[in-house]
Amino acid sequence: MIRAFKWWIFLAVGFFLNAMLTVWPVDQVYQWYRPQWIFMFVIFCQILQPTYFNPLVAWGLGLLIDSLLGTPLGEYALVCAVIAYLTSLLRNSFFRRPFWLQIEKILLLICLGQILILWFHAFAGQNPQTMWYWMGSVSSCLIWPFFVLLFQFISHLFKVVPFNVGRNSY
Amino acid sequence: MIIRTSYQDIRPSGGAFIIAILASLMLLIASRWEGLLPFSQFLTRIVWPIQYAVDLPTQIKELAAPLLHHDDHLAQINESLQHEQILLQAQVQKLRSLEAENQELRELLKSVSSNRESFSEGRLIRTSVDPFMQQILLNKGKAHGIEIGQPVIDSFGLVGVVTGLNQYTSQVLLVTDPGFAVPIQSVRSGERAIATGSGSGELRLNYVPRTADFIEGDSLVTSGIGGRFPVGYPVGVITSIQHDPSTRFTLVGIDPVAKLDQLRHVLFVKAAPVLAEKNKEEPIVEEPALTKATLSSVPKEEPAPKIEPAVAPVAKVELAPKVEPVIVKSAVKPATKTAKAPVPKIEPVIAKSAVKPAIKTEKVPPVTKVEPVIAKSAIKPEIKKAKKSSKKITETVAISLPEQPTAVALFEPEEMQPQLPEPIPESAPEPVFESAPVVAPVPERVEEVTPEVIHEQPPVVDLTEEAS
Repeated sequence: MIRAFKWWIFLAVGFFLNAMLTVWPVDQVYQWYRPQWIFMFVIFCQILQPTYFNPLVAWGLGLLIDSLLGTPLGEYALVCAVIAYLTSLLRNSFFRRPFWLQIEKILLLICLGQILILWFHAFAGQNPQTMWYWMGSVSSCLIWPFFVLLFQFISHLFKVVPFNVGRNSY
Repeated sequence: MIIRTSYQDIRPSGGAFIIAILASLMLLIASRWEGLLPFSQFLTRIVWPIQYAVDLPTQIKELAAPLLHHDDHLAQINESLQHEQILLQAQVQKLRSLEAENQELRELLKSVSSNRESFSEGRLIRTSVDPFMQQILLNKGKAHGIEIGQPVIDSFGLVGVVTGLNQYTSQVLLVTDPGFAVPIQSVRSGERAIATGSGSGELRLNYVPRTADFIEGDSLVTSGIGGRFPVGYPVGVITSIQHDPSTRFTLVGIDPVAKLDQLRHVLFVKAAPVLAEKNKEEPIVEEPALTKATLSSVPKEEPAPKIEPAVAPVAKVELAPKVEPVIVKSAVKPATKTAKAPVPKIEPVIAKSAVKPAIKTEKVPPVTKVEPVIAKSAIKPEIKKAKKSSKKITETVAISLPEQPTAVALFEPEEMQPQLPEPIPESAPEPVFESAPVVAPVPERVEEVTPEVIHEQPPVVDLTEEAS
């Protein structure tokens, strides 16, 4: 019970930080390079705690992001749910794998998320005419190791993970 | 880098995934449904602390700005502001004179002034994260009286329109968003069109005919059509006009005058709808009660229309200026009562279809007969026209009669009763035109049948001869 409570606290704090990073004002030029923080957080949580985190929780986080960004309700929610589900399918392949293979999967998942968002925008008539749109996925991959470091540290603070770190864990 | 977690072979939760997908699709389908608004507002309340936290450094910076600046810098800013103020004051003086002139012209036209907007200031919290979503977030919301659909301007021109509302923040769709459209008008030529956002930092006019009078450099302002945006706010300047030979239309590119990339402080415009103002000034009263007070307020005599005897039958539909609808409606009923009183039988003259509609409408029974010479259909179109123009006013129909006293517009029953010695049965087969006034709804304008129209009418029929 306490463990679950700590997990939810960690989720709330992590979401708050990622949402802040998502809407933090930056110069128009650097908007393209903004990592997809929320997608990264969903992937991280799905790998970290699959018992508590599932596509429905990811859907709830996406809904809040929709509200934060002003996109139609359900847009980011759907994408987050899809990413969470695919991560849960790919979760076992994250273990005992070299670093670049992890990056590869992260790139795949975040690109998929961006494609879905792009489709939604295209439906609304907002079609980007530039390849800079995909820089968000690239920057997300590059920042992924540091992201994992940071949030693993935070999860240790909330004592979310170390209870069941077994011999197969890395 | 690896995530320190346990290797657990947990099956993916397909059920939760399907539920999430279905819920998302339902939300997307119902995104235009107004019933979803409370749920949306609930969500924005949850994420409001995030927006506040993001905005906090800016607030702190603004608060600390006076402490951080040196005196020299402040003096420099003060000097430049004073210089700017002098320039602005000069411009305001010119604008005042223009406004006074505009007001005077509007009064001449008897139209309602449209310059009745109120403003409230807002500050930018953040721009859209997505470069393709031309939206901004402002620090005023429902708690400050902001409403969805309010236009937002900066010191240069139109910025956008409020599309989302939270308790303390509001989301504004910028003019350059593809989902934005505003009716515009060229200042130079007065040509009207609808400008839409292109999604790439500019606006454009679609489906503009080739004959439309737009040239590069034209300033475009809001035309006010549609009632969403007030009239006269600058929208942009035409920067390009492309004639595509394969289409019938011209593509016009517009550069927005508002500094969308440098926004900091903006104004929410709250326009008073013109129609509502008019209705306030002239309240529509339906079926008012007939009271003595209303009767006493009826003008006893309206100036009779001056009609030259030599002219062929002319129907004049004249309004009683500034007659309140309350008065007019009540003025009809006494006429009905008067008709029941004894009326001297003079000569039976039958007014045919020309007078019928008005009499039937206002339930005026047969009254004193005279010798009118009436064109059959000369009055009818005018009366119909008058009815269409306004329902809440009455009309006075005055028929010119050679060698006959001119008709009077309105009368009171008490004055007329002693002069009417002989009654006329109510079951008279045909309504009879009276020498006394016939009271009917009065339109707002005096409209005369022009001679051309009269010539087109059927020939004059002397009803006296017919009767004899």
